[in-house]
Amino acid sequence: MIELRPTPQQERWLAAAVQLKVRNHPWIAQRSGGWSSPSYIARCAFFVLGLAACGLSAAAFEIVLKPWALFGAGVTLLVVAEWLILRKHLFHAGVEEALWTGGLLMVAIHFVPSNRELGLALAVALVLALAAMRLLNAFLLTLALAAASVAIDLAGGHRLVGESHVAIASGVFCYAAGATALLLARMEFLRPSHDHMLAWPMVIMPLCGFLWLAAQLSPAIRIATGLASGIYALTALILGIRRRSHAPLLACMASLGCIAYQLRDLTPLPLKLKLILWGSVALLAALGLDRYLRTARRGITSRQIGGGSNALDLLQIYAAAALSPRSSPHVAEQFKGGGGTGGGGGADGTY
Amino acid sequence: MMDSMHSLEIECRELAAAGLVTESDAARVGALERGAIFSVFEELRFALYAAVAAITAGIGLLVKENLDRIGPITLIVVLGLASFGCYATVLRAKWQDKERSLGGDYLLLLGALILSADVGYIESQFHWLGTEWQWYLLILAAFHGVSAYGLDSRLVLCAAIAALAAWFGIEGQVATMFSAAAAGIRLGSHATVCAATLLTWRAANRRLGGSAGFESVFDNFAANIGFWGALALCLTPGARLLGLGLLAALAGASIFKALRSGEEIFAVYGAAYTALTLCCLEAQVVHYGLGLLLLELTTVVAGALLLWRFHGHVTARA
Repeated sequence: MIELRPTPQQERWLAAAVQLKVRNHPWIAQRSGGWSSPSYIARCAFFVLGLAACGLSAAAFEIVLKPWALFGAGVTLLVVAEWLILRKHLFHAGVEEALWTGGLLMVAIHFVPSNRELGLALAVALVLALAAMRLLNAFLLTLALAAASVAIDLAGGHRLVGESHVAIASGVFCYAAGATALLLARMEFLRPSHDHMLAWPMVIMPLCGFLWLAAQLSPAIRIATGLASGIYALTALILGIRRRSHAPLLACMASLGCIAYQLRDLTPLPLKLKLILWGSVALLAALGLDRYLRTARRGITSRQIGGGSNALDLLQIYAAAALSPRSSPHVAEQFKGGGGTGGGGGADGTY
Repeated sequence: MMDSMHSLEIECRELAAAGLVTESDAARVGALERGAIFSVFEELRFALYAAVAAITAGIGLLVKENLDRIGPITLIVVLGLASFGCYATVLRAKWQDKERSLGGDYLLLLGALILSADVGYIESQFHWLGTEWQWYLLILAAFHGVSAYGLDSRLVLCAAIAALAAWFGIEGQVATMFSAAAAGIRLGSHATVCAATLLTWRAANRRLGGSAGFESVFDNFAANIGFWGALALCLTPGARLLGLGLLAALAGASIFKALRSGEEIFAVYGAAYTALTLCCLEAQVVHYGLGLLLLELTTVVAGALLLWRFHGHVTARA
């Protein structure tokens, strides 16, 4: 019998193997039905390589099969992706996700007239949602919801480029999607991927909702978005602590960032002082919390448990290096300290 | 009390019973899964990074815009005091034999970054190094390097390496990699020397009994900078053979390291950078449209297959 995807139990074995770092062990392979799933870092690399393969295939088909290029490339990519899933038993491997999504997008775009923005946005949202369901991919589901918010905006008679308007319907949709994910996450799912599929939207969608409305300067919208972000942050914080879950806490932090942005005019201080002041407040708060939770309180601790994530450790070292100043000190006008851009130490100072 | 119980605890217990993991590991993951213990380490790390980034960005703007109003001496003293305050807090904890927390790590990074901004500003105002101004970056790299060892901080080591790379002129030249041939050769040679310097530093670190945690920092930066150099040389007519040789050597070394140490990221570097560089090179050398596309597609597929093959070996090794 052909298996379309791992069963919930097989997926749980894959997840447990990742947690305990025993991936690829024959014992695990036996219980996970031969399905294989690489680490997060490798998955990202495979996804990028898969996207490159999609683009190159479409370009090659464009030369040999011009009127049907997208359709031909799309079908080919879909067949390859399904072959990788059904025969090679790849699950969350990155490459099959890129090929499947890219392939279906090409097929959909082939049939949608390029001058119909609304149809295109709807098709993209639908394709991404289908891909998310087929591949159990949280990132694609979040993209589908974001594309749906674009479609809602276009359905209201707006244009994406060259028009400033109040996208209330899209903003409300994004906030509602985030809140729904936050509330649904209390359910117990058998598949770990279903948890992830709710975690991503609960973090990203309120940010999307905020971005739809953040450009508006009217006091009512600023107060409304600030309040919405505040309520969302508080709810996410409470639920995150009760459920012992990271995603709601990240959603809370993202929403706090939105509130900070809306409060930017609270003081007449210039931007640089605001950055230093609020950065210092955030630093002190984080240092205080770190100190307070060094001894676990009701099971919550600031200490790292286990080895931590390789991907996040890597991100940390590159992010730390990215903050270092790199400008020529002889060009005072272009000088920026930490966090600044520019360049040109070394050999000749040209940039 | 938790109101959601997605838990892999049963699987963890079975893995321990089968002897694949120790009882203590299974118990630790089991406790995490059922929420008996919950670490907010990553959330705090993110918050601390955002705070440090905001402060350093603010200081950057302050230095840039407020020269006339505040005056250089005041600014230099204030930044110096702020940096000293950060270092002093961490040093006090060290002298009291207290274990440094995550917050302490980021406070130290903030001190190092403020000091970098201060030193850069001093040089821009007083021109003590004259036309050799870029040496201030090497001085910073040396200072951060010493303090990274003295205070055992990977984050400050990252700041030291970033200053060293800037001294080699790498940061400023990456943007011009695709535009000017001369810049490509310069970037390629500088990046190669910088990567070699980092590997020498790493070897000295190991020989002199430096922190084992520093080695992965050196390895990651050396690999990235080395591959950028190879890419720059491959994109430069007249230096392509050299670039290809360097690319082959780096890819081999990366994959060998991945297979030996079980660090998957080096297999990713080895396969992905090689595929990317070869695609860029093919785009420059092959001019026939369909042939180029098929060649590039073959390269990408080969890169993915190579990565898959090595990934399996690496994870088995890990």
